Amino acid sequence: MSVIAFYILTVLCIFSALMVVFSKKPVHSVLYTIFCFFNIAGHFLLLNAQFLAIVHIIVYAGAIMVLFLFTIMFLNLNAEVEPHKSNLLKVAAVVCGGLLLLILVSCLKGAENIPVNPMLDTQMGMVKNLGMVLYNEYMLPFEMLSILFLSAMVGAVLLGKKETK
Amino acid sequence: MLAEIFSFKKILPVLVFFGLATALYFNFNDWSTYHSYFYNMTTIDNFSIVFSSLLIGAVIMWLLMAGSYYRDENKITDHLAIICFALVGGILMTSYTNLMMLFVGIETISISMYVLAASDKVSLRSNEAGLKYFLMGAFATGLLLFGIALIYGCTASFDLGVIAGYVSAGNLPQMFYVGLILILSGMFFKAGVIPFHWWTPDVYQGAPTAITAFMATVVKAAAFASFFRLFQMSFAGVAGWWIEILIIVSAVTMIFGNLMAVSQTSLKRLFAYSSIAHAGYMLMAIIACNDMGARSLILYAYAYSAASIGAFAFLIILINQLQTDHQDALKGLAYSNPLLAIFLAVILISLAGIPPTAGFFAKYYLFTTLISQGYVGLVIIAVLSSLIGVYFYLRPIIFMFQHSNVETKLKISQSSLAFFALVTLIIVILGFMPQLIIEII
Amino acid sequence: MLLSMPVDYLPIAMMFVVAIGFVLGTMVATHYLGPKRKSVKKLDTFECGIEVQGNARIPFSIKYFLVAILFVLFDVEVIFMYPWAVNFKSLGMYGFVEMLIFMSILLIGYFYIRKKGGFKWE
Repeated sequence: MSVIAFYILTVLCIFSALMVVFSKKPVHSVLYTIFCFFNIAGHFLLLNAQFLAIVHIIVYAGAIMVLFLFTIMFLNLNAEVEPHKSNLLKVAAVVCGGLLLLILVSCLKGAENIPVNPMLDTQMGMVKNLGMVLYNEYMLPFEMLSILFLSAMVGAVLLGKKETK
Repeated sequence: MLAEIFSFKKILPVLVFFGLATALYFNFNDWSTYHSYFYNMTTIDNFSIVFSSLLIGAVIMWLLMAGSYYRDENKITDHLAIICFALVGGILMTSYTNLMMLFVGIETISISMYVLAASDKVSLRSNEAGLKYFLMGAFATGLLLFGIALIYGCTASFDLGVIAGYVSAGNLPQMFYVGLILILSGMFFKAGVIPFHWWTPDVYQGAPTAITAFMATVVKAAAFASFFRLFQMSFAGVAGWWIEILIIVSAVTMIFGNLMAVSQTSLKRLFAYSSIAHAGYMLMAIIACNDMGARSLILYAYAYSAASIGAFAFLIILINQLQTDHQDALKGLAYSNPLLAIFLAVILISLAGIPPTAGFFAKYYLFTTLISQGYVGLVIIAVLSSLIGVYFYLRPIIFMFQHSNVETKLKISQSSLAFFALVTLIIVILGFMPQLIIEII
Repeated sequence: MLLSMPVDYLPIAMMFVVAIGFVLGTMVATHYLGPKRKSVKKLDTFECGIEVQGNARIPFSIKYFLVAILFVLFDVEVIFMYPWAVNFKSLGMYGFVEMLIFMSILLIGYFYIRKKGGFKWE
C-alpha cells in the first residue's frame, strides 16, 4: 500500500521538479515548486515524520514560496532580455550535473546493503518525541538558532531598509 | 563566552571591546581542561581555545582598525552586532563535536557575511559581491548538508566520536564516501580553495574593505579550524582515501592562487588571490592530520591573520584617501610616509614568508611537518609556488621606493600608526619566538 | 502510547484525491459543457468596461519583501514553539527557561526592528 503511494508521490515529485526547470513562465515554476513540496511532505508522512511534513507545508510551501513570488515580481520580467549562455557552458554544466548524478546513483545503489539500525524508533517523527529530543539533547543548537535568526533579522533590516536622511 | 552577544543595541565600540576582552579571559580560564558541554554538543579543548582566542583577538584587532573606517555612527552599531554574531558562529565552528553544531555555526557566520558583503548599498560592486556570495554559499551549504545527511544515514549519529567509531569499524558503504565528498566540497567552498574558489576575488574586491579584512581573517581561520577538527576527529580512519584529494587540491590551489596574483594590479584583488594561495598552504596542515599538523595550522593561522589584517588596514587608509587600490598609488610612499612604508613592508614580507617574520616560521614549520610525514613532492610544489609569491609580494615594496611625479602623501593619525606598529610587533614576535604558539598545546 | 502509522493518513490522501478530482472535473466539464464566445473584450483580463492600462508586472517596493522576510523568520520561530508546547509539562522548568532565552533573544530582534522602523509604512 505505502509502496504504491511512494511510487505515485515520487513520480509526481520528479515530474513537478522537472517542470520547475522547463516551464517558460517563472510563476508557473513557482506553482510547480509548491506542488513538488507537497509531494515531499507526502514522503515525510510515509516516513512517519508528521511534524516535518506539516512544517514543510507551512514554512516552505507557504512562507518561502511567498518570498519566491515576491522576488519574481521584483524582477522586471517583461522584456525578454535573458542572456543566452554559450553552448560550451551548457555542455560543461550538463557534464558536471551528469557526473554528480552518476556519483549519487552509484552510491545509492549500494544503499540497500546497509543494515537498518534496529535501535531506530519508528515513532521518532511524532511531535512529542521530536520535542523531547530537541529540547534536551539539541538544546544548544536550538539556542544558537536564535542567534542565527537574529543575525538574519538585523541583516534583512540593514539591507532592506531605505537610508533615512 | 557568549556574553558578547548581548551587547547589542546602541553600543559603543568600547563596550564591545571590553566584552571581547572578558570573553578572551574566560576563554583562557578553561585552559587545559577538557570539557564537553550540552550533551556533547561542544567540547572545549586546547585546540578550540587557541583558535577561538585567535578569532576573538582578530575581532579585537578588527575593531581597532575599523574605528577609522566607520565614521558614520549610525552604521557601526548594526555592523558590530552582525560581526559579534559571526564571531559566535566562528567560535561554534572551532569547538563543535556534533555535525549539527558545525552546520549551525557555518550558517551563522555565512549569513552574517552575506549581509556584510552587500552592506555598502550604494555600491554596485558590493551588491554584486553580496549576491554572488549568497548564491554560491547557499549552494555550498546545500552540498554540505546533503553530505551530512548521507553520513548520518550511515552512522545514525551526528556525533564526531560516534562517526569516528563507525569509521574505524571498517566496511564502509559507498554512501559514506559520497557523503564525505559532499562535505569536503562544502568545506572547500567555505575555505575558498580551488575548485570552489571562484567567488573569492569578486567578493573580496566588491565587499567593503573592512568586511574583506574580516572575511580574510576570522572567517578563513574558523573555516580551517572546523575543517581540521572534522577530519582529524571523525574521518582520520579513512585518511588514505581523502588525503589524495587534498594533496591534489592543495597543490593546484597554491600554484593557481600565486600565478593569478602575479597579474593583478589592484591590490585588493591581489590579496584575494593571495588568500586563495594561503588557503592552499593551510590545507597542507590538514593533510598532516596529527598534532604537529594542528600546531602548524595554528601558527600559520595566527601569522596569516595578523599580516592580512595589517594589510587590509593599510588598504582602508589608501582607499579612503585616494579612492583607488591600484598598485601605482604606492609609488613614492617610502619617501612621503617612511614609517608606514616600513610597517607595510614587514607585513608583506611576512605574507611572502621571508625570515625573520612570522610568515616564514609558519611556512617552515608546516613544511617540516609534512616532510617528516613523507610528502616531499607536495612540499617542493609549495616551496616553488611561494617563490612565485615572493615576486608579487615584493613588487608593492619596490613600488613604494620608486619616485613618482604625483606625490602621494597619506594622512595617518597617531592611533592608526600605533595600530600598524602593534601588528608589526606581533609579526616580529611570532617570527622570533614561534614556540610561543607552537608549544602552547 | 498511540502508535502512528503512515496508513493513518489514508483518509487525508483520499480527501486530496477527491478535492483535486472535483476541481479538475469541474474545470473539464465546464470547458466542454458551457457555450464559448471568444472576442477581444471577452478575453480581457478584467472584463468591466474599462480599458486595461499598462502591465501588471511592474517592479514594486522592497518594503513588501522586508515584511515578508520578517514574517518568515517569526513564522519559523513559532514552529519551534509547537513541539515545545506539546512537551511543556514533561520538560518542566528546564524547558521553560530554555524557551525564555530563545524568545528573549528574538524579542531583542523584534525591538531592534521596531526601533529601526522596519514596520513603519512611511
